[in-house]
Amino acid sequence: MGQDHEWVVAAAKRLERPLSAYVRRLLGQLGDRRAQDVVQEAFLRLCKQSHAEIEPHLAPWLFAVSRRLALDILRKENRMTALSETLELPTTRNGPSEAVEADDLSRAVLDRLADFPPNQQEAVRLKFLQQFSYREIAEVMEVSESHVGVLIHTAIKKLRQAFAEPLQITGVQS
Amino acid sequence: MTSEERESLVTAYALNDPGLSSADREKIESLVAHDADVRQAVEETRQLRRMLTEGLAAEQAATPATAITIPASKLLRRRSPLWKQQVVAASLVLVAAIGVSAVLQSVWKAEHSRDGKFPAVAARGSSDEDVAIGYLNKSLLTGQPSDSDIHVKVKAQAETHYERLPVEDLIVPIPGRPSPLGGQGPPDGGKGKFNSGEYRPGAPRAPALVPPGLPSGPPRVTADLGRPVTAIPGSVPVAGNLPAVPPGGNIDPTSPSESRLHFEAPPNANDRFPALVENAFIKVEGQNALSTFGVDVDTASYSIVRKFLSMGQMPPANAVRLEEMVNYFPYADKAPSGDDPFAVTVEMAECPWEPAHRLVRLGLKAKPIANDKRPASNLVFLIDVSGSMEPENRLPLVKASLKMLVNQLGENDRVAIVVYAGASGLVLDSTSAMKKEKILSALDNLHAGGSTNGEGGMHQAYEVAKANFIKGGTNRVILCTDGDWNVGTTSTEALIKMVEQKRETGVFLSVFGFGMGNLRDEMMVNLAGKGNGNYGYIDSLKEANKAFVEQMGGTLVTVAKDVKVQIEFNPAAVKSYRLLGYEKRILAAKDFHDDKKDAGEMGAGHVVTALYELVPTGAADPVVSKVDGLRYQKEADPKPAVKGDNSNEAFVVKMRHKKPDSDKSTLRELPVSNVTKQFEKTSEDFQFAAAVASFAMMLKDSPYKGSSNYGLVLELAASAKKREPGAHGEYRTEFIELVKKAKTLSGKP
Repeated sequence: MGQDHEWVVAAAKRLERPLSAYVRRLLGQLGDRRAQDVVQEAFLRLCKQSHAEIEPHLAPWLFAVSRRLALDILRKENRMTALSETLELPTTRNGPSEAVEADDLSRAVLDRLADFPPNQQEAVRLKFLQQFSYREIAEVMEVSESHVGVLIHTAIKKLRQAFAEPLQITGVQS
Repeated sequence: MTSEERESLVTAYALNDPGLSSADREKIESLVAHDADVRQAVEETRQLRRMLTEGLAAEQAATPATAITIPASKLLRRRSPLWKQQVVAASLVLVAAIGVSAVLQSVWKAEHSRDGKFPAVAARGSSDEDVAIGYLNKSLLTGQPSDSDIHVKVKAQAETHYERLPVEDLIVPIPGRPSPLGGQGPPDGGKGKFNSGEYRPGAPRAPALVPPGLPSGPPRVTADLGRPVTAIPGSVPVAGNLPAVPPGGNIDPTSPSESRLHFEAPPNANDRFPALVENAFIKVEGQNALSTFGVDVDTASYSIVRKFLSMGQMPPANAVRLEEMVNYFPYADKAPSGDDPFAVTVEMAECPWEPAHRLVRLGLKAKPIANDKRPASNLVFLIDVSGSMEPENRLPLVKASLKMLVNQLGENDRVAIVVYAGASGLVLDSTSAMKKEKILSALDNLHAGGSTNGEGGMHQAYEVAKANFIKGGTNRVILCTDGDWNVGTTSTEALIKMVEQKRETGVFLSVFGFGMGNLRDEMMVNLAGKGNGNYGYIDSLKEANKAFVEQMGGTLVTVAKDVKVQIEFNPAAVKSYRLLGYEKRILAAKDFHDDKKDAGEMGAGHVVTALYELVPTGAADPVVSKVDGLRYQKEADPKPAVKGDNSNEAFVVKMRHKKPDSDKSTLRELPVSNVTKQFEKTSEDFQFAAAVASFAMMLKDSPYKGSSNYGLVLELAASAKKREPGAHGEYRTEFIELVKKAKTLSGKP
């Protein structure tokens, strides 16, 4: 037993935590239990999929499904406007030790990122946290690949400008 | 192109986005070369990438995991109407639930607690280790049940079925949804939570585990609990009782492309096994009288097969590589004397599964080396610590295995540790094995998490190995992974190309696969092959002991590299031949003398066995692979003139090998006369190798299996078991157990 489902279990092992962090962020105040329901449902849907079809884009597929489910909830709660305006960062600073180890500069970058529009934040997180390609991010966010490029570039450019000083180039000379 | 668009592309370039077209890439590369500002932008972007990656990963690591459950597999649903499974599965859920948590004291309560206060079984705590998606392990069962009697039974059951009864299987199929495989819905039409896959926010969680249609009430539950799970009347076969279904579905062994399709498609988790077409019989004619292959000391296939069988499944045909199975076992071949790196044994007798044919066993035994005579070694452990390595049989087993190895090392040995996940890093710089404590504690401190960038890690490991290179010693990267590489440009070809380049540095590679589920078998086989190395699959401490303690010399010390074998058959004695296994190591005849052509390595003490099935002249042609007679060429004279003394030879074995640090090969020849023993008179090694080969062909349902059956395999193995070489008598015994298991599972004689 446990053939197809072993695949799903492996996927869950790997992606459950990133997915729930992602969904929590999308749902904001709506709470962790809703987030859990969304992730649960995403994996249930995965069970009905053909392994062969999904495997090449498993992670983006799960993120895309979870995103749609989360947006459904927000829509039903009439909170679409909220999504585009406020997306609070969960208070995670008091988490396990790893969180503390991120150096001050990384933290400053994250703090700055928190001020950016939600879609830029989302693209940046999918890029640097999930290591998705632009194409995969496009699949998740249901926008064009070039738009993803613009979102990420805009965010990166703003961060670069903000941190121009501490980012003094050491290696390359002209 | 606007400047904004161009800047956008520069960002994509700096982030190595694979979607960037090669034209754009070239354009930006030239910009980078000429424009300092662009260079600055790229550099800044990459620094930001590092900070963002680290910062965000830390933030995510601090997020508590949720607790989700995965429903039963499709395979289960396929086997009986859905409602029946619901009854069974519901009972199972309750079994688990009662064992799991004191909160769920009875079904009745669970059924009626719809106020949301009731946590689902899987939602007991925030510790994702024992709850979220974990297996039904002991930690799940340490709750205090209301009925200790039930608890005991549940626990006993769970332990028996530990491997096969993951919690996920216990969760009830979703009611109200027609089975994707045509099963019927539950009798009541279903009022479950996840109806038709539509999401309903705010639905209470607990009832999802207790579907409608379940006969409720404590008495019923107690009754069910009293019985073994698999014996519930009218139940579908669960767990180990599933009739044997090849994990690849209905694999047609005659159609390799088909079976490949099946493999990449469902069932077996993420394990990927390359398609494998068995060698055919070849007529001894002209250049075809030459059979050429590179040796192979890999043994992973046997461990993989054992893992499948022990989980109650027949292994997929493509996972069965005959030579790796045969080579898994120790044989009593004589060690070479003097300076020879290896000795050769040849034995020919009646073929047990085709008495008209002959079976040849060619045994190459590499010079063994005592641990205290081992040359100094420079080892780099390259360890995959990505999230998928978390399960008990992955990273924890890797650590335990490598500790065994470290404990064997001495003053002449050095160890460095490189890990890779989303990013790669040097955990321990090259350290003398005299400082065992330091190495062991570095191993202890490894934790799994994040995605996998195997390529970066591989690069760094080779760099460290190169920096600490010991001339004339062992320089080796030891890669431990589940093969699930999902970040970086991890196309198999790119990695292999890198490994191929790196082997020029004199650093060898050993690949050890851990854990089933993500195992990218094909990639591991290729990496080890191209990186001058070996590949083993480690599924238990026992297996680790074999690879890292008993056969440590073979794992670490290469005594001969690019070992090639070429056999020329004499048409006067042999009509056609078939090499059993070694499909991935077949070489063209001309490659034999070409020192640039890579072939397999032999470690100290390794034994390589190759088997040939011969059709002697005078015997009928094998039925398989019939070829029409040629219209324009005359059939070659079956008995060409052979001069002088060579006429009574059946074949000649030629071998080439290089010393580990040399690029020039040495040739040896060994003529074998045409004398055939009766099978009963052969050595036990011969008989045992024949048993393993016959078993492999049974598992593959090979068209060449002749009269092989599991009974024959058992008979051959039993007669060969009497005198097991070495102190490890258990391997052949274990083999016999495995054959019995396959016999039961397959239902074949």
